[in-house]
Amino acid sequence: MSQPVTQEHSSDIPWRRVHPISPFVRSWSVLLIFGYILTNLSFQTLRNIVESFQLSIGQASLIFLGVVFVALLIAAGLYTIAWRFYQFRITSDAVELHAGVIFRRRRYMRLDRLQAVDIDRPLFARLFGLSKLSLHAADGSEATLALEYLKATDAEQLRREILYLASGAQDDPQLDPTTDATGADTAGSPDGTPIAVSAGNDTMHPSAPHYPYAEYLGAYLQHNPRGLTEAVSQPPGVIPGHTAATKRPKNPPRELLRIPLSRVIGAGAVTGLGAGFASAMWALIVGGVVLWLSAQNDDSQALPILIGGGIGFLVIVVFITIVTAFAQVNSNYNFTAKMSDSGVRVLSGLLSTSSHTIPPGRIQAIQIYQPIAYRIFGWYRIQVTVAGYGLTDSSTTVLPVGKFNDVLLMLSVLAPDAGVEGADELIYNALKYTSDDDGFTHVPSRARFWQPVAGRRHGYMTTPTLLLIRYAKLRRILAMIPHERIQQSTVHQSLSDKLSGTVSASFSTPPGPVRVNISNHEPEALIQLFFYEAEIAAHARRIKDKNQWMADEELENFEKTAVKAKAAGGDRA
Amino acid sequence: MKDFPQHIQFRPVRSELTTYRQIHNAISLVINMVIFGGAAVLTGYLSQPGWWQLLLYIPAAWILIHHVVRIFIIPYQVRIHGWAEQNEDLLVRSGAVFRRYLAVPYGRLQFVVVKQGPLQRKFDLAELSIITAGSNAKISGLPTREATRLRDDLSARGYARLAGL
Repeated sequence: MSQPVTQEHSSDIPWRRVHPISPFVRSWSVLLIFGYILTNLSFQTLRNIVESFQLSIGQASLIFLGVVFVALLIAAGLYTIAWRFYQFRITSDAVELHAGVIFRRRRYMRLDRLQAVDIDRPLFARLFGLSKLSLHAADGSEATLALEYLKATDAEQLRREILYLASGAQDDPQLDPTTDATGADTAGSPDGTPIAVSAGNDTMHPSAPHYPYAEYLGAYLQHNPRGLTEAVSQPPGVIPGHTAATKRPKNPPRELLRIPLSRVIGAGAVTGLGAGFASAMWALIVGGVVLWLSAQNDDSQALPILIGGGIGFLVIVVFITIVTAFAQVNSNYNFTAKMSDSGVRVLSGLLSTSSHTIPPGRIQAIQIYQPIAYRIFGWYRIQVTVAGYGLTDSSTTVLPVGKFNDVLLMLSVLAPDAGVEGADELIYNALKYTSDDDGFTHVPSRARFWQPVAGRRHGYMTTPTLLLIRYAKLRRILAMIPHERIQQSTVHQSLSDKLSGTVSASFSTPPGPVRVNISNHEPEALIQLFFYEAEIAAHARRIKDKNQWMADEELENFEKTAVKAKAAGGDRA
Repeated sequence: MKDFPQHIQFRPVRSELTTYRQIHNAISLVINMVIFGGAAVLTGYLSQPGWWQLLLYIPAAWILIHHVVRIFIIPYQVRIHGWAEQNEDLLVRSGAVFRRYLAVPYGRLQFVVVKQGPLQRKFDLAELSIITAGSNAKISGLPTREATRLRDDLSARGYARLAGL
């Protein structure tokens, strides 16, 4: 795997192939089933054939071996063809994949649309030391481009290469036609738009009042410098072109946190037990009704049925618990979160391992989630919405189980600074307590009927950078959506709203696990929020994703948060 | 939703949309009644008579009610449906009973689609879908010329303000 060849014309970049054994790894399960059927068939029919042809055992086995040999030869031939036709290459701005013999697949993925990179090592592939590299893009329906399978080291190398190219760190004005050559280091932000500049330099140019959100942008700039373009966040004395990304020292990946095995097992057990009891309850209800109907006329059967039902209940609980708990432990074993130049990276897995890399600026929304069972131990889960991942992907969980300090640590790299004093306390209190003066809105009492459980707890709050929405009472959910990530806003009245004179709103992000709707609120305030968010969304276009996020001030921020989290101790749960 | 600011001027869609939607509703009613009513009658005919056969007519009755109610609501829906092009975003209003306001910032839009079926073409109606990464907005019942104008305008504005996700 050579260094990225950016000087050449894109058509000169050679095509690469995956590891030769990968067609076999990809289809081993099919092969296994096929082999199973074949052997089963042979044992039954072989005897008949042997008898009908009057062959000796030696001749028969010779013929059988020959057949197997030919079959293997054909399979190997097919695999070679499949391998020959599966090729990919990485140009300076895209990844291309050509695959398939009869049905040709051609994928072309622009690197500036890249949202996340995963390396998965399923158990079987792992036996051969192979990895699967998945690239997630925000690019229409076909969002994932998977390269199966690569040698583990090659996959790592490729990921680094792709992330490096995608970050725009190598951007040379001569190579990138979209970059304004005079603007030099824009790191993939060709449109250094005028409003951001005028907002950032608000104090210098007081003659920019016609931008209504200059104030907001100013606050944003103050609290979240990494969200703005290089041109804006640099001190005025620095000439933009002189801080070329390539000259910046590369920061080694640093470990954020590692979840101890005991907690992984504990969380697995708790979740497993929950799932086990839930499914057993369902089984009990369904089974109970059926038995009650069938045994209605026959009282003598009551006791055995009761005992049988009890045993069945236990069996289901134990079985589901073990299966779920093992699946959890398997996927969360040795969970490690790291931060590097190319983004947040989480690694985990016992039998099958996986590693997800989310480049900075790709997280659309964050959600802190505490299932009921986690409340006993003070554990939390963090889920994120990333455009390429979609709704159900397990990789949306970036912290499967952690104490509140772990949550803060992860938030320091996932979320922009909340922009208020004591943001950590705010989040902590928002999750743990509900009161009238905690800054969150509440469902008005006339609409409480429609929010029977969450009740007053459901509400929202805005900070200079974030929209916080709180849900649920038994579970605890706190969604955090950076204002500039909101794609569109809706305010509407459902039937329940109509009846209680309230309104609901929704602030959409790309599809993901994070909840983005607010139900049954006072019309006036929510409509105000609707306009507020709509206009921020309109102006926030100027706030660009910065690809080099490990800048000095970011590191300082991280250090501060880390120290604070350590100092706070482990007592907070 | 009385609290929504009244000063925003929404441009109404073509009133022919009412006719189109009524025809559409009628056709849908006939097709659905044939399928569900037919299925109910057939099942009732083939099976043993009993009171439970009334249950078979529930889906058909529900669909009938739904369509009949729609006949009365459609005129209001069309009167309410409208859009407002603001400086930075597009507002869409819809819903006769359950009102809905939607704001799409121009910079957020990924692409714009104009759709027109054969029946819509007869009434000079076009449907504009505005797709963002989050979800999408729809304006139905635009004059064809207006729809293409809006598409080009929105695309141009979106392009001028575009910055990815």
